[in-house]
Amino acid sequence: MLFNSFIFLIFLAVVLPIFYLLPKKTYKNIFLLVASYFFYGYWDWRFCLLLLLSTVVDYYIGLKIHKTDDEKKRKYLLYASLGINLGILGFFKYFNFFVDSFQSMVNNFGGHVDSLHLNIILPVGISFYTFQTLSYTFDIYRKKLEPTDNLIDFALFVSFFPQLVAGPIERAKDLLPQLYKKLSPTKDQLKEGATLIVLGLFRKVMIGDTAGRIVDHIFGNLHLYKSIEIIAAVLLFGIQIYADFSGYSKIARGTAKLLGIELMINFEQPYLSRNITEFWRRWHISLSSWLKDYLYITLGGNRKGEARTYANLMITMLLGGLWHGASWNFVIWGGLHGIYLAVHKFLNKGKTEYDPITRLKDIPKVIITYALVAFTWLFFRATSWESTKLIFSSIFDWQTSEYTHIFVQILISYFVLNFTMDIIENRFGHTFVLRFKSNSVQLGILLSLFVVTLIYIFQSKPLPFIYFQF
Amino acid sequence: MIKTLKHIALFLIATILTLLICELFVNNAKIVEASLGKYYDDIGKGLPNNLETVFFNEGMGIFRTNHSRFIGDEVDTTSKHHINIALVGDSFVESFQIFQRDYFGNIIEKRLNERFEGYTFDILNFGRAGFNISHNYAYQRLLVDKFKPDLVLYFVSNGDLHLEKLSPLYPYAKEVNDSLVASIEFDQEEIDRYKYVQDVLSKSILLNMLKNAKHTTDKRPVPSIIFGKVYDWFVPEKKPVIPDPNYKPLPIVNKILTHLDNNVIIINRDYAPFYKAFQDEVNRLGITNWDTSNLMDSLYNLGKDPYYWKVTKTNGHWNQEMHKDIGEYLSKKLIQKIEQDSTIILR
Repeated sequence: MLFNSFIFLIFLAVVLPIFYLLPKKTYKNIFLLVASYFFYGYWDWRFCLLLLLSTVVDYYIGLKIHKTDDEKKRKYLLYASLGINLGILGFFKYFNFFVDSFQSMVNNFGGHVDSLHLNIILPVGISFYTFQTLSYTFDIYRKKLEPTDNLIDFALFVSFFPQLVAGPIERAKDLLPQLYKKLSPTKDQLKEGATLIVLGLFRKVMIGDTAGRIVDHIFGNLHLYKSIEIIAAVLLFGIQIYADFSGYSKIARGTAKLLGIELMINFEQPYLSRNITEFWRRWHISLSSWLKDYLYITLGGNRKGEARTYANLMITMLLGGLWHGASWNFVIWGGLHGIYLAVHKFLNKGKTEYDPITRLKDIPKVIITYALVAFTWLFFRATSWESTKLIFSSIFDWQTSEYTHIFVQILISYFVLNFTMDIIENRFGHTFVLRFKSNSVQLGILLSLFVVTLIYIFQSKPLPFIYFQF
Repeated sequence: MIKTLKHIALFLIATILTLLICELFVNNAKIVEASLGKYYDDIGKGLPNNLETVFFNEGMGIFRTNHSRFIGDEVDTTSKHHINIALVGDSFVESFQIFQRDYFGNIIEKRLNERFEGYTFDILNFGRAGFNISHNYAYQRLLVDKFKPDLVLYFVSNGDLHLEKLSPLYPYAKEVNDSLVASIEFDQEEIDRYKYVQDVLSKSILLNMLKNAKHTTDKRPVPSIIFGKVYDWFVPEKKPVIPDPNYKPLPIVNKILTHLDNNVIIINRDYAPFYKAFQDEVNRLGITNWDTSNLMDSLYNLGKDPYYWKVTKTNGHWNQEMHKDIGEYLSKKLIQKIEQDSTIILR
């Protein structure tokens, strides 16, 4: 069930009133759990079995780790959780990638291996909830978190539908305590929730999906397009993925607020970053902080000397790239970001800029950072080495286009709207519309954006969340 | 009272300003195409002139209409060695869903210009969505003939021979006594309503979005759009209508065939061969006709579905590969034809 579909709005319209009417915390949580499984099973009911397996495994392992003081046993239990969760993720997401890579490597060296490629359906959101449950087990292992003995609460923590398929990847210490109390949204939460849903939908649908149409057509038939058109598609993809992902995250946060739950902010205007380190503090925050806490620090972080710090950074970013999708292109994407981060770290030696952007002199830095990031999107979107080569050859073997003026106009339009929204958000917050004192003004803006978005959804097929395809 | 009025005023101002910003964005980012219809007193419903459009359906297209109200550059009708070939047909000929440079007509144009040095060939796109053989004929008489085409290619499928229901406000062939005329006689109320709607639509791209939403509901039932998969669980899919193999051409179809100029070539643009009765009549009258159904079959057999758009995962009009293949196929046929009839065509 996509957030940008009518069926999701109907689903919400059914779930919310029932949820508000339920009197007790337990009833509310059970109802939300059932709703979450319905939400997930709407794609394919078989996906729910994996979700259930992951839930049951981490629930019991979490309790067992907490109960024992035997360090060896605790470690084995952690490995068991890691093995099962990463095993499921590895099989469904990476099996074909590794066997295909192995086959191609053997063939390149003159050997022969029969194809082991399996027809596997990738369960939606598996990368997100696997990381979420893993963080729970890790935190218990590190004694930073007490496990819950309520299976319903834990199952809801894993499957909570607003953030199940696209994050933010919540930490148990933040989300679970909210589920222990009777969920009841405040008036402010209702207002902010509705605002975030409308703004998120607008961003996802009117910016992300519409830019995505052009990107998909061009990347789907690269050989038909001229150099400038391909460059425009790469730049538009940068806009698409940001609008798509941040829009989805906003809808997730907004929906959660309507249920009385606060989720973490996942995007903080990343394209306004002045350097790559800042970019990663603003882009997909829940993933970058997860990678930092559970991978980078586990590898030793910056505590084992300068060379090891850079190595850890690269490993983290390469694996982070692979998390996004099973293709070498994602590894290259992660690797490029790793190199950027290492170079920035080396050049700055710890100096970072944290203050919000208000200065005009930052603009060149913002543009350079944006250009560096935009270059990496090329590898991210191309998804295969052949496509990547085709893009480079099209760009280097320059061909002018009779439609240059149209593509330039389209790009300017998307850039202006996207950056204007970001600058306003940066200055006035994610629910900036609510800064208007008059309720009538707030209503006028939100209603207009909502209606425009709905009309667009009505006239065209909703595009899925971009990460679903990987 | 004043407080309420103030609230209403603020609400309206905020709404209008937001819609204006959306309008500006949607228009400039080419998210929704401008209205592609206009009523003319000489041809009925046609394309607006001098309009550059980005169009999305199963594909993505960019095209420009010329001063003469069809897609393509301005046409030269004066120079001596200039040869115009008109393509008349429905949306398959019109081809909104591809970039103009990938259009099969442009491929034909390129090949003919390469083959016949010293001559300039112009392939003119007179395709209009919803046209059938009756509309083709009338459009030729009212607009196409003005460009003195040396050859006119009618793209027709079996579906275009059922003339019981004509597309509204399009010119059509009408039998008057014993002759055949191109008619644009329509109900004045219908014309006025259409003109009014187009006038409104031309003022706002957001209103065009509403119109497109209405079109969507014409193609798919509203509950299916709103309830998605849930609707499909309960409502079985309709079986496609199988064409009647015993079809007999309507008298008006026969009439059109007998009134065609001798420079008209009928092309079956579909994967199914023409109805036997129609094919027999075309042969009997000695009209040149080419069948692309074999080409489509061979493409299917090669695993290339000419109607499938892999990016949008939908079936629709010919995809870019088909445009290339049909462009090459028709180029060869036309080169043969021109070489055979060089005295007529290469003046």
